[in-house]
Amino acid sequence: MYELVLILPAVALIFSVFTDVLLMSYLQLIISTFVFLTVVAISLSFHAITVFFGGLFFVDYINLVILITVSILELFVAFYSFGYVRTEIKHGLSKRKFKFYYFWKNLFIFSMMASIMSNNLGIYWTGLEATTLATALLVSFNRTKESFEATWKYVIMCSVGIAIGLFAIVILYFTTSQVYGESMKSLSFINIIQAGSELDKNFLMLAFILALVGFGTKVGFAPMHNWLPDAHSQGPSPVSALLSGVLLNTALLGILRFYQINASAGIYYPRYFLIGFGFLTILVSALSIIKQKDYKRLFAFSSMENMGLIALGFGVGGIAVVGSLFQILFHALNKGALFLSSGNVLAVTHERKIDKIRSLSKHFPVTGLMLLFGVMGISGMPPFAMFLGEIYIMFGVFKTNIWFGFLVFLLLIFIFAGLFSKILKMYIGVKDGENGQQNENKADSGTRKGKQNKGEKEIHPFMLYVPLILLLISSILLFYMPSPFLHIVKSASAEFGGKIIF
Amino acid sequence: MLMEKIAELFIILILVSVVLNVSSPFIKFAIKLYSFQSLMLALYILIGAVHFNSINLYGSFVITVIFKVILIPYFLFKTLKRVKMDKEIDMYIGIPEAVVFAGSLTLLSNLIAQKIVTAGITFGAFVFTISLATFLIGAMLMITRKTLFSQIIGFLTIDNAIFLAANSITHGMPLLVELGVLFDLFVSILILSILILNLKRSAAA
Amino acid sequence: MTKILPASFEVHINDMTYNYNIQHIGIGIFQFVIIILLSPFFAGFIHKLKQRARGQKGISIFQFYINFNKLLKKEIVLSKDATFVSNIAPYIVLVSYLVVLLMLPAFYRYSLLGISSDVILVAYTFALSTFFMTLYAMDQGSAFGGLGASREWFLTVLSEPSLIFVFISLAIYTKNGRITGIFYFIQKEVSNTFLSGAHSNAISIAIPFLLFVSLFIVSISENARIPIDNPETHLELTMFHEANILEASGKHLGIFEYGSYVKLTVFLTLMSLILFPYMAVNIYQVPSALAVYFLKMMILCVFIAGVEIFNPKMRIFRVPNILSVAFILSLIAMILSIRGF
Repeated sequence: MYELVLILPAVALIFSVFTDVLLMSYLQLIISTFVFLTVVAISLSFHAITVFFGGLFFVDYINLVILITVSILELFVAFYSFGYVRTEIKHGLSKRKFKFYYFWKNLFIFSMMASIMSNNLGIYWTGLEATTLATALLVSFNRTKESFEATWKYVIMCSVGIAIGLFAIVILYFTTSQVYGESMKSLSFINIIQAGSELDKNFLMLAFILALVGFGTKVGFAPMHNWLPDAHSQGPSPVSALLSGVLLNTALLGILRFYQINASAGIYYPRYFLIGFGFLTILVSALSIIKQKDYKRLFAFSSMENMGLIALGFGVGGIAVVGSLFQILFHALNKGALFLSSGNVLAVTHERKIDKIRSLSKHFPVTGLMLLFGVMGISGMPPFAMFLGEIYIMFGVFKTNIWFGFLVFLLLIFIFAGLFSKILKMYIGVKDGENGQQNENKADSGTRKGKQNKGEKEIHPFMLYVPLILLLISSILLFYMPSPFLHIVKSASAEFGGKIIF
Repeated sequence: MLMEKIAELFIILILVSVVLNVSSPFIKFAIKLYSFQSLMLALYILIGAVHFNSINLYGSFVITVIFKVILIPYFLFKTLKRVKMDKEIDMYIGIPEAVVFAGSLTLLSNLIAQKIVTAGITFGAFVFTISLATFLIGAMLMITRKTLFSQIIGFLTIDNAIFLAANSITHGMPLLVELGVLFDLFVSILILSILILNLKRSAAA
Repeated sequence: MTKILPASFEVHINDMTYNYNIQHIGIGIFQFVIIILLSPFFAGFIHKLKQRARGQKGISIFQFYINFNKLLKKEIVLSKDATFVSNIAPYIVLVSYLVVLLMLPAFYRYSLLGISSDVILVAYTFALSTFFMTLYAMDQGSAFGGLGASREWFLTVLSEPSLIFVFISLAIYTKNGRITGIFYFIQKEVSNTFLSGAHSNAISIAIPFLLFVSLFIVSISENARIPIDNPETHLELTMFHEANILEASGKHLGIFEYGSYVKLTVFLTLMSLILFPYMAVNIYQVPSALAVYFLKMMILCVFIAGVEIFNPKMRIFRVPNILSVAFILSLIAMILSIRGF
């Protein structure tokens, strides 16, 4: 059963080479549904660490959380892509291009799955680098100068970052090979954890710092975040959703693995590095959000902020770990909804700039509402599940130090204000220096630039309603949490010393 | 004994080639130097393989030669020919300053290596110094130069440094992992070449 | 009554005893004279190789001896503004090279000035010669002299740190302050390590290799060889070294030219000693050591000629690039030799 999670994306990869695009979109729906069902079956029956494919891959509670996140978001992205492909082909993009789209997307999913479930750190590294390469040509899908530049930045920065991560793995291998000898066993995560107390502490510390900087580049931690807003805003919206929602978590998993290894050797001060990087990331994204002019870049900075919050939660420990694990899933759902609905906005208005878009509520009611709800969710307002994750993390932070808690809280309010000031303008705002009537005409003429523009009816209904369903799930999860998932999160948080009381 | 001394020569040649790379503003020369540097790395691995009689290291030698010495420089030359960009590279700081900076990075890495590496493995300390220095100078190459090609060269230099470290402090990573790493590197070079071509084209248009 | 020299006498400096006997003095003088006589030959050999590679028939290998002989017979013409400096400078330039040559254990361990062959002294004796050469250039009062002097110092300022670092790292590496001691130490350790196979951490290949590369670059710049300077042309724009002695004539020119051959030989000898030190310690080894020395010098000449053939002349503002590499390589060698192996 576990093998299926890897085999199915590989099958989809092979299909995407040979089949027609429209047929492929149906196949993709089926395969993604099966992946999702497999993951659901795994999580229902899961009770202990399971190894498969000869010890190269394994599933434990922590990567199961990320696996569930990936499979859910992938399912919805498959539905969205179904509509997206049809809409774009109707607008005159070639089918051959979408064949590439499905090919790279499936390669991306496959390597991400391999990297999440890998027991061997070398395979984790290979998979993570492969995700960078697979998404490179997806980010430059629009073939504009900006998108090529964004891709260049993305590939170069992430490759170098991941190369630093390889250095960390080499040093870890050197340390563990003194226990297990030079074999695959010395890279196997389960074996390393078992031998934790016998390892050289200096080298483990060095390996953690290198891994934090290296994989942290891919997570988007603050000093190394330059590539993130460009890459996430330039890609097609489904790809942006996957990049923001799950790929960042995959890179974070590497850091968490090194953190676990250090904890098993009795080294606990890496947590301060996590807290420091997390806080710095929140600070930088809060300051950047105010100045953004492009709404997709705005959401990219918001993902950065959330990754910082998750890292902060893992660093603080206690109840905040539970919050972080919740946040991994909820952020993926919400950010998925947000990017997909921003894709709809882009599809109906053909504009990326915030200043050019006004009165969405009048012209595109569903799209505009989805965008507004998405922003409400992402900033942690109650009807959506991210409220839960953020409140747990904030509890943990307040428990450690009340002043630090106030500082983080202030930054969160800052981000909330920054996001809403932009999005509300887009939703109900009017243009400066013009009265309402003129503005309406202007907006109408703006949308009529494309011939026979019929507003929302032009785009495929799947595109329109997928974000809605994602948001619906998110708000249901706030009130009713399925007990198997709760169990998984509890057990996963126990491995980081987290506690939960219900 | 003799082998260890010859290995030392290869390692120092890697450092010399990196410093020469910093001192030269020509892209073609930089790619040639990269190929040479990878050859030295491969020969160093070969000496290790003969010394420890390890199949793993022999395999590592072969794939290093195939990917790093032949394939990657070949594709870089091909891309260079297609974009017709064989001029001097613009830099943010002058070459003599950059070279002196590279020297101070070597000094720094020597200090770090002395702190970290325990007294037991003296030869390892030497290789660790050189690989750390190569790593830092590669990063410096990426930062101080404006051309896209030198970013690739810097990235490849960093990668060579990590390979050197992997093959010196341990007897090489498992072959499966090494193959995966090299294949990823190769594909990333292909993708970067495609991006360079596209960027050139969109800049011209 | 003639005073009879004692058969041997000892000189004590600090804690080291340097034993001079008639054999050491004799072979020392032989070594000195033979290198002086050979030095125009090496320069001519490089010249011949270059011309052959360009497809020219070329001058004779011994042409430089003939030139020197001719120049010595000619009259000296000095500018009316020249002071006494112009009369002494050529001799000081030549003598300072000869002093360095006296210190070098080219193929016999006990060179004549081996006792005072301190590495710092060697480095600054070179600087003395450069100083007087530029003084001579400016003393004549011609515009080109000032230009040449300024360019010469531009090069020297950049290359001298590397030269000093090369010598200092040799001294640290072998824990010995004298040129003779340094190369004897390397020779002894190399033969111990590679002939008897004993495990030794005292020697390394990396340090001599780095020093060799650094010294090679420095000697190309100091000896006005092609990638940096081209003494064959008489264009004002390309002149480095040649502009200094543009006003020299007759005997002075001959002495300057001979000095440059000796300088080249000194640098080549230093490189050959770093590359493969083989020095005779008694009279029976002298023929074989001399043969090996000649062979090494030939190989290095071919090497230098190769560099000159395959490289175009650099722009003047690119010269610091390559000299900074020499500096950094010698610095790295010094770092490595401080740490030891």
